[in-house]
Amino acid sequence: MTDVEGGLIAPAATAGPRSAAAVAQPAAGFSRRLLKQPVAAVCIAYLGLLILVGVVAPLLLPSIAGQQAGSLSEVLKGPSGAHWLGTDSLGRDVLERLLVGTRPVLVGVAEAIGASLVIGPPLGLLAGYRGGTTDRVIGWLADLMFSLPGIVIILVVLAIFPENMLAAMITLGFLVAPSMIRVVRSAALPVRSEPYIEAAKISGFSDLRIMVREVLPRIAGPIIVQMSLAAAAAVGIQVGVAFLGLLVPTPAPSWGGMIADGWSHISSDPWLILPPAALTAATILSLGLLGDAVRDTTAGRWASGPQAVGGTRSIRTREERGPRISSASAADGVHPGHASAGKVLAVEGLSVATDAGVLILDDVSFDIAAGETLALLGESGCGKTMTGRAILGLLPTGITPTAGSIYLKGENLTSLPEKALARVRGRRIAMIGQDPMVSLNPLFRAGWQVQEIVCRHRDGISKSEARDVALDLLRQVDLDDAPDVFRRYPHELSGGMAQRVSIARALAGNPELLIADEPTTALDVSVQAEILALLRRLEAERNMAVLLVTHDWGVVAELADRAVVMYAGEIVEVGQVEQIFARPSHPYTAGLTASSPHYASKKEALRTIPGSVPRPGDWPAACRFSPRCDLSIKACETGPIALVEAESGSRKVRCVRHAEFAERTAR
Amino acid sequence: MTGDLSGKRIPLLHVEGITVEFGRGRHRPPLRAVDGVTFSVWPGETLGLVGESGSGKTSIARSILGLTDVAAGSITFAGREIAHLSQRDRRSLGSDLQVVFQDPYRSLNPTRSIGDTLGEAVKVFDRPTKDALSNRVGEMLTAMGLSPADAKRYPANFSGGQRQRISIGRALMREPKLVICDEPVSSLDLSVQAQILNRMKSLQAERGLSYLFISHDLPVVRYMSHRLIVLYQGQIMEAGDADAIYAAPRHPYTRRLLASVPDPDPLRRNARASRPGNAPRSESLRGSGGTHGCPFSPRCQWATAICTEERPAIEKASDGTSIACHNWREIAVPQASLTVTDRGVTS
Repeated sequence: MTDVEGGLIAPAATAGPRSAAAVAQPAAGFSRRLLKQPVAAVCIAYLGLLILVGVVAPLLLPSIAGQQAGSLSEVLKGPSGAHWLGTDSLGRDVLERLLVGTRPVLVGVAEAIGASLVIGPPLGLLAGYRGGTTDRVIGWLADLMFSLPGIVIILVVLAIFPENMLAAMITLGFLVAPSMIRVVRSAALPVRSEPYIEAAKISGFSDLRIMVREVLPRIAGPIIVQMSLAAAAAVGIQVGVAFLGLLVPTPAPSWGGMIADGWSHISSDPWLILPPAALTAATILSLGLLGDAVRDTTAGRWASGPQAVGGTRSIRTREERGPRISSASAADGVHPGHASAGKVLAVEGLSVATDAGVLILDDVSFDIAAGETLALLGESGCGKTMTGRAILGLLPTGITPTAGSIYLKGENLTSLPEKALARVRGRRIAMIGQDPMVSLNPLFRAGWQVQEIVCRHRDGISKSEARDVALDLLRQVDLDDAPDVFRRYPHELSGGMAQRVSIARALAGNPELLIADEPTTALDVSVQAEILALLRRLEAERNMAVLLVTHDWGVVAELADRAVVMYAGEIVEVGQVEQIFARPSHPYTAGLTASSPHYASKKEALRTIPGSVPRPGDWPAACRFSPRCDLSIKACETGPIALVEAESGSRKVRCVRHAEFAERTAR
Repeated sequence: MTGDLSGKRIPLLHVEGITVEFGRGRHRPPLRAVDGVTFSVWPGETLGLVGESGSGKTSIARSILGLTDVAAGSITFAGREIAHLSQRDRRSLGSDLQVVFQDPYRSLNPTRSIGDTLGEAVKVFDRPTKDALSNRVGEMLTAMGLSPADAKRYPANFSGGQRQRISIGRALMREPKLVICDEPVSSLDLSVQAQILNRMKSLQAERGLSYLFISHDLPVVRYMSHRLIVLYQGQIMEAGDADAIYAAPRHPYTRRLLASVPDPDPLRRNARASRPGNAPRSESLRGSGGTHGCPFSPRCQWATAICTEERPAIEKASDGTSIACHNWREIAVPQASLTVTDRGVTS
């Protein structure tokens, strides 16, 4: 299984956190990984020893089971050389009786678990997979069995079948089955509607096969945990019933019987109860811990690894990173006083890294003027969204800015304390997200959620005034019947209407900067066109700066004045949208525009960029795009590439061959 | 709109007037997701189904696949009526009719290796030897641009684009005749999307596959499809040759849909800004056009009295395009809202 590393292209981050967490790891043997956990190893060793004792002890000590009494002169003695754990009230050796008494406990547990496994998982699986009437009937049965008083039923069974452990333990198995049914059902229910289950149905597999091969492995974890809990409960019940003397015929040893013996002599000889009680407790504990460990290991086989972005790459210092941006902009960018004055937002040399030192954004610089829309473009995993979140000061935990500054109208946000930053968010910088249904709270009326923001950001405003402002905002976002929308709950709105409400919310603080992160990706095309028109109008009316995060050239062309193209955490091209689209000067930008099917001829294959975006930590040291670039030459791989000015300063590009490339694309 | 039935060709899939309804509790009438839709898919062709959310395109796919019950109508696949088959009787269809779903993260079982996922159907139904099976899996992985050694790995080790290729590979393992693709590239980045679309096209050329290609993304559907069907609220608005509809949409809804597609070329921005903005909004608090009339009539700027009263019949234009609109002849064919050119964008 060593083919994983050398295999194919790095399993790169394509979409969001799920794949960022996907770490290629060889599927090592299940048992080996289980034994790697110390807790599991100890539990397995203990339970293995117990099983060995259960099998061997009655064979080696055949006389113990029938032993009525030991040496009556040595009754209730503490531990000694002759009797390591002392003797009981009839002078019998405690250790020998414990060892021989192990078998009935294990047999009883096995019987109970066997019985519960016969009923629990199959019925739970059936209920969860089938749903509907099957689910309801099985649910009723489970409820019915839940309502039975367990221990009483077992005692009744023992009254009918005196000292019959098999009957008692099978009854116990039936009694614990309902909780297994419940757990298995609720684990299977969400799996039922997974597309791969439907794909299996379409392929013609029988329901039984789908349940066993596709659903069961997904829910093995909860079953194992339930099993270990049931086993632990069975140990307790077996010992308890034996304690009552109802399970094991008298002279034969059992842990429960020994506890009973110790209990009746607890004042004269407190030691006697300890060995069987400790053994019972240890067995129950190790069953529980082992269940947990097994579940974790089962999941680990196919789930992604725990660490999000592996690697130990340290952050390069500024010297190592090569020249910063370009001469001109470096001069005017350093101080907010100069050229970035007049700019609403100026991001300068922003780097962001995980606590483990993996760079996510590398020396990102751009600015936006009032009334300007700047697009951040790039594939998933290039750092677009992270840039937006860094500006808002809302980076995920474990990820922090390591260098650079973010100026909002000359004020450095990176040096602001969290409290002051919270006043900036929502008031001076607002954000609209991709999915309006997620960004609105389903429990509150839409209008109230706008009003709340108005109250928060306009000091001293009265409630009724805030309501009027909120209604006015809803009208500004072209909602036909603002008072009606005001009263509605988010689920009563369509996607486009909900997005309008979240835009109204964003406008409530009269922001200077609006960050729009894929604002139309979740919407239908005709709604998208309307939302884009709305955003265009609002930007002009309010003279806002807009940072538009998107992967869609169509949206960029509709809204943006300038664009910043990002690749693998750094800027690769900056320029006017018209220039960039017509004459991309970076091969990555060209690849992005060319892979759109919009103008493609049906007779030709679409242009693609081979491979995928490398994950943070796996970035090549020199040009990060060179492994996917068909123009790559030696110079591309000698060291970091600087972002240089092109076309008399109106554009910037990070490519060694940008001049020749621009000529080629201009044709 | 069933194509030329005069010839001897028979369609691979023929859907005749199907209706799909979803119950909404005892006190409300059922929601009609698909309302009397008729179309055919011919061998080796790609039929595109376009529409916005709620247009019923996914319900059509699911009813063909037997995942949703059909309230009325018939579905004939390879000469066999399949609309009301039991789950058991559908099993034999699995070798000819396959599916690729939208979400690459949920369409592979995370607990099973890629080799198991790809090989399972072949193993169960064709019973090859172990070596033959692993050869077939290896060949499919190679055809999908992956390596045979990947068979041992689990889905978590692959990116979204790679998983989608694996899903397509699973669909093709038993050499189906028709693959239903429900938004197969919608959750992928553009460059990855292009990789998948290219592969689907070359597979079609090599194997003579048919696709029923469902998407809300018009440029993608236009690029992939020979013919396309535009759906709105469960009804067919316009159907015909993909390029013809794209170049000159006749139905008001199709026009509006095409005009809404954002053009990636910023130089066309000014032309768009002058678009008439007085068209009724796509969403309002009013309901749809009721059960009698044209479903698009509340949003249609050309709607007349008859549009709200009578459901338009499907009429055929001279070029074979079918249009469900009372007034399509009166509405002048507009300028091509999107010119289909053969220019490569770069290089």
